[in-house]
This record gives sequence, C-alpha cells and structure tokens, in this order.
Amino acid sequence: MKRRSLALCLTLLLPTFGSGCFTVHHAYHGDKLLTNGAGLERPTKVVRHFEASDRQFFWLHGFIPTGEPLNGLAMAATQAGEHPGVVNLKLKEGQDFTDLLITHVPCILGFVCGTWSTWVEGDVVEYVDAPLMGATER
Amino acid sequence: MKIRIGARAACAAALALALTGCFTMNHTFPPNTQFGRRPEGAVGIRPQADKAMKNYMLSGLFPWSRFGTKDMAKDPGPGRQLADVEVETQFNWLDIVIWIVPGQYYGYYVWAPRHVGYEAVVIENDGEIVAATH
Repeated sequence: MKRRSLALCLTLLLPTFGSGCFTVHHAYHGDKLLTNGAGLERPTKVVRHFEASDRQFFWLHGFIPTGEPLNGLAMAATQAGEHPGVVNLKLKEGQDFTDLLITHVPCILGFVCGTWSTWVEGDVVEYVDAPLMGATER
Repeated sequence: MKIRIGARAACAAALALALTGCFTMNHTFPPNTQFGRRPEGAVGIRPQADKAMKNYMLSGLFPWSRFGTKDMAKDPGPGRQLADVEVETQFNWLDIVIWIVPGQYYGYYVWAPRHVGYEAVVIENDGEIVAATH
C-alpha cells in the first residue's frame, strides 16, 4: 500500500518538474510579408503554393527538447525565398499519425518522450510590376 | 474471455486509428493579419494579447472549449489589422497534471489541455488589399 502511494505521488510529482518547458513559439522578425489575407497592397501573382512541416522530439513531457525549436512563421518565411512574401498563410500544430505513433508506442503513452509538429501552408507571391523584386525594395 | 479480449483490442485499435491526425490546433486570425514585416505606412495603435487553456477530448478529436486561437483574436475592425503576431503553445504544469491524472487514469486521452496564447499589435492601414492572381 505504501509502495503504491509512493508510486502515485511520484507519478503526480514528475510532470510538475518537467512542466512549462515545452513551448512552441511562432514568431518572425525578418523583412518578408506574411499574411493570411488574399494579397498585398500592390498587385501580386502567385509563384507557387507550398505546404511545409517540421517535427520536434522531446524527452519527459518536453522537459528536454531536442533539435531546432519549432517555428511555423520562420518556416513560411524561408519558403518565400527571394520573393517578397506569402499570402493565404495557414498555421497549425499538433500531432499527426506519426507523432501519435511515436508518442504512444515507443514513448509509452507520452510518459517517456514524444513529438510535436507544426504545419504551414500558403502561396508565395511576387509583385507583378517587378518580377523577382526583393522584399526590401518595396 | 478470448473474444472479449479480442473485441477490446479491436476497439482500442479502431479508436486509435480514428483519433490519428486529429490533435491539431489551427491558429486562425482575422482576415489580413500580418505575421511578418508590417505593410508600409501602417501605424501601430495598441498592443493586443490573450492566453487561454484549450481543452480537448479523445486525443483532440473534439474540442471541449474554443478551438485553437480562432476566437481569441478579435477582429480589430475596418481599416485596422493585427500585425507583429506571435503565437505560443505551452505544455504547462497544469496541462500535464490534468493530462496524466484524469486523462490517462480514467480514459485514454479523455482530457488533454494545452495553453495557447498570442501577442499582436493593432495597426491602422489605409492601403487596400489586392488579391493575388494566379
């Protein structure tokens, strides 16, 4: 009985030590225009549509994250390349089939480790009056 | 007995399959929100921010409360947009304790919360948006 109580207490305490650590922060401070709107303030045309994703692995409820932090907005800006920006931007995060499989099977229902993903989707655009115009020239 | 175990395993497998890919938070903001550089000539009016606990059941299949950031960011109104938007999702101590205690002990992912928040600046922008052509 004592052992069971101790195990229960440890189970309850363990997550509090690892808490507040896994944080996904989507932010971008560069020179690209990123909007969920249909266009920019000057006429543009769609260069290409993109869908991109990134996955991060962590140990102990996110207490020890590994690899590069997830950042969907930075990922969208990278997709813009030399073009001025992205329109129709959609940002989401969570767990897909692979994340659930990793988190629930080898990571034992997420107690030991887990993964979290971010997805972005949008249209890379360029100004119609100046093909391949850089964003800084606006 | 064997049939019951088999049925349970089949139910668990079906449930697991049904739940896959569902735990997804869509960060939806008002139209023409700016996540990157501000449009030229835009003037910042005031900061705007919110943070809330988002509750999901069955591994995210159904939201218990408001979904993603859809209802967190209010439309700033005509001639105004949100800019400098930053979104943060956190597994804080409360989320993890809830997820483990009622969530895992009384059902597989019955209750799985996350804390989602955003920070932004309301800007005034006179420019008109021209939809991109294909």
